[in-house]
Amino acid sequence: MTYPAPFRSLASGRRRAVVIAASASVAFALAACTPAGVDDADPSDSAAGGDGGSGGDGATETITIGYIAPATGTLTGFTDGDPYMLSVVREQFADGITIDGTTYAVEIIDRDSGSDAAKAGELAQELITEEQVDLLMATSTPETVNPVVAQCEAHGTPCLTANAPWQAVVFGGGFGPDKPLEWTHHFFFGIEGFGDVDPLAWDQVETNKKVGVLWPNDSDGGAFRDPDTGYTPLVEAHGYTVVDPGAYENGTADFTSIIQTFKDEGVEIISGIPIPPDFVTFWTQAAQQGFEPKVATVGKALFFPTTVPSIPDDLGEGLAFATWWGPTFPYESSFDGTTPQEWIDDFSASPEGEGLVWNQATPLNGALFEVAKVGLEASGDPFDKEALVAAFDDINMMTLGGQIDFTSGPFPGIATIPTAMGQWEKTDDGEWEWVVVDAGTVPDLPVDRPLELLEW
Amino acid sequence: MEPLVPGQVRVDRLRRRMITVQIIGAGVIVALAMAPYVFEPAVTSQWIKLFYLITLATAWNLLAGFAGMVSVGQQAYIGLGAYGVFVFNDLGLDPYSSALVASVAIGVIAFALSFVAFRLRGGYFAIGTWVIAEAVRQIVIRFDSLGAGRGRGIEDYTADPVMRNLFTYWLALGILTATLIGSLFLLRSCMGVALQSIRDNELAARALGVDVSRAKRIVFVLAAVMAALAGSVICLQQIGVQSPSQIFSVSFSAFMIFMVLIGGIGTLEGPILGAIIYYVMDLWFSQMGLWYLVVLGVLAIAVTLFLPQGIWGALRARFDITLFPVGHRVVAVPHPAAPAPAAPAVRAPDPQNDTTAASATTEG
Repeated sequence: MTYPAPFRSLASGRRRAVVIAASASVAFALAACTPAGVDDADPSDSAAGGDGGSGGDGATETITIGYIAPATGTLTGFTDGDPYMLSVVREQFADGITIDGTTYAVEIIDRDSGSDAAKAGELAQELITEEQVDLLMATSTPETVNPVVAQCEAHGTPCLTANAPWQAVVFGGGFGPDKPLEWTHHFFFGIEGFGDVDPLAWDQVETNKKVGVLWPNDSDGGAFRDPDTGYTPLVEAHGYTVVDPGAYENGTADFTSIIQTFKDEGVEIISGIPIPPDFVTFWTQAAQQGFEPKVATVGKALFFPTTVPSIPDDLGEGLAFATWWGPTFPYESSFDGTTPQEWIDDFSASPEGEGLVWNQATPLNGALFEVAKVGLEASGDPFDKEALVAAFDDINMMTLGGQIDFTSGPFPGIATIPTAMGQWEKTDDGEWEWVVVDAGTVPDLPVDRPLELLEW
Repeated sequence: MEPLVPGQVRVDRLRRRMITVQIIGAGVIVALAMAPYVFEPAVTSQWIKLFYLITLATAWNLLAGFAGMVSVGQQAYIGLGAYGVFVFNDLGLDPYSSALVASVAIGVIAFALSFVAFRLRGGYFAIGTWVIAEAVRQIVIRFDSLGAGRGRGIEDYTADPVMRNLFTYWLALGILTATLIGSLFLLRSCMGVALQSIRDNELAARALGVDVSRAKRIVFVLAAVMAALAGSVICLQQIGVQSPSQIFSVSFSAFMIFMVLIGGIGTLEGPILGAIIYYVMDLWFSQMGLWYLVVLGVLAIAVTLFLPQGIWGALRARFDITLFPVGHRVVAVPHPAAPAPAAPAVRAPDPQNDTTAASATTEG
């Protein structure tokens, strides 16, 4: 590298002045950085920010709710319905909420984690310390939820999360019987939502009861593999044996050795929680290599409507998965009584839903706000963090996403929702859809038809 | 004008300016250290990210900008630094001491790895470091005690969030300070001259008797230690590692390269400027979704095309400014013995005509 000689060298006095000016400008730049996060918020924040309190004093009584979700990146599938959901929620909160006769304005600050765990943690910290949110919410996979929970627990901020297996949130986040969640409430099903429901569907057909599993080396896979709190003891109780070929890395391009293990062991049932691209790879290679299981009940990869149609040669036909929400589920919104079918129709007709297919994650993201509203109303004082957390403890309510019951969860601060079994099929006009083949643990869910074997 | 005659020149290491920089620098650092008493902790904790970004950019710049080693595997040491906090925390140290002890241990690991990495050069070196980083990740996530593929939280941690933010802030500031001071003095030392000669032409440097591999190895280890410290700060700020693939992500290297290229490679000031630019953009634009990445990319392309020396390089060429004097210049010493009829007692070189002195100047 060459460096041109300076045009002229300056007298040292002038240089010093330049040095000082430049250092000052660096210092100034540092200082200028500070309020940046505040700028894109709203004016009400500055009123709350000054006193270091929770924004509860003065004339403007605004409840600030932070919402962190992966709007971009690899986890977008969980949140593509969020723009519509947020517009519905903002409409609900437009007139504020009334708590013990006092009406509070509600401000929702939604942030995109970019599907990056570190970014989610940073945003959580920013929302807690700068925006001083009264309640922080996060959704979709442990990669988004866990960093936010960690920050909330560390800062003592009420936290409400959903859409991640609860074992991955509790045990994966280092919590447990000795170290309960103090500030966080989380609702979703856990491993039991798969392990207790998958065998119900398998029981419908004749197999050798050997289950091959795909558990990657990530948060979910680790939680499923746990010998005590994982998947194996649940299905063994139903008389099935698990064949675990070992942890593989997300993004694996060659599943040959795993497929060979399944063939050698005579596996007839496939289960697991691979990420969507990995399952497409696995399933295509299984077909090429002549591995023909009778049933496949796969979580995570099949949750979203885009995966199955993307599997080549219509190999997605007959794939089954544990589902927590669909048009026929007997749920209704606590906001206005919207049922799942109405929600789907409204979503499809809305400008935000144009070009999108409804998915199961959106109603649960929306249920966060339903639970938040009821919790805030029950707290008596929305700015009293302890009272708000305690109010969530007593919640047992119906939402669009299902019955959320924190009073009888498997772990303090956890509510589980029931699951059923869905199976994908291609309709006569070439559209992909899934139907309920087992009601699982969902009460009063109509079953469309029994589980069908995979056709090879 | 006096010619540069051996024995009649002296090497000016810009000592006066160095003293100024030290005084101002000390002032800035003390001011930043006191900042939590003036601002709310919430405000200063936002700067932690800026501090570790500058640390990372400076470390990468030492590697690529001065020692000519383009590494895309620094995330290995970031991740090890983060996991090192768990390891030494489990052994009974508090998280902050763990961070420091871990960085020393990682320096040792990096020293060992350097013998592997240095068998490769140029593009192969870049890929090799990436492979090493990936291998390190694969090994780390085999340990169940470290949370395997799930990540892990810090268990033994100060309960008070305000104090924790403060300590993390000071740790980040301390690491930044140590990095900048270390780099400044390293580059002003004999080693610094050797490094700058390696940067400009490795073969020529070797021919002149510079111990190239020793100099490179020292820089490699130092950069690893800096990355490890930055990684431990990330871990402390995130209260654990939430996702091993994230802490070992190659995107850290991408951002380091981005910051250094934008700011100006081969200068000490450039990475700082680049880190500030990246930090501010992240703060303001990261909620724009995918467009944010497009903007970052366009900025990187524009700077590489039109300001190949980076923003600071362009500023320096235009205004001749330097914050950190790491260069030296050779100036003629006026000596009374020589007959000097044309220039009687020119003590200070004429700024307009002193081309000889100027052309002998190097800047870091």
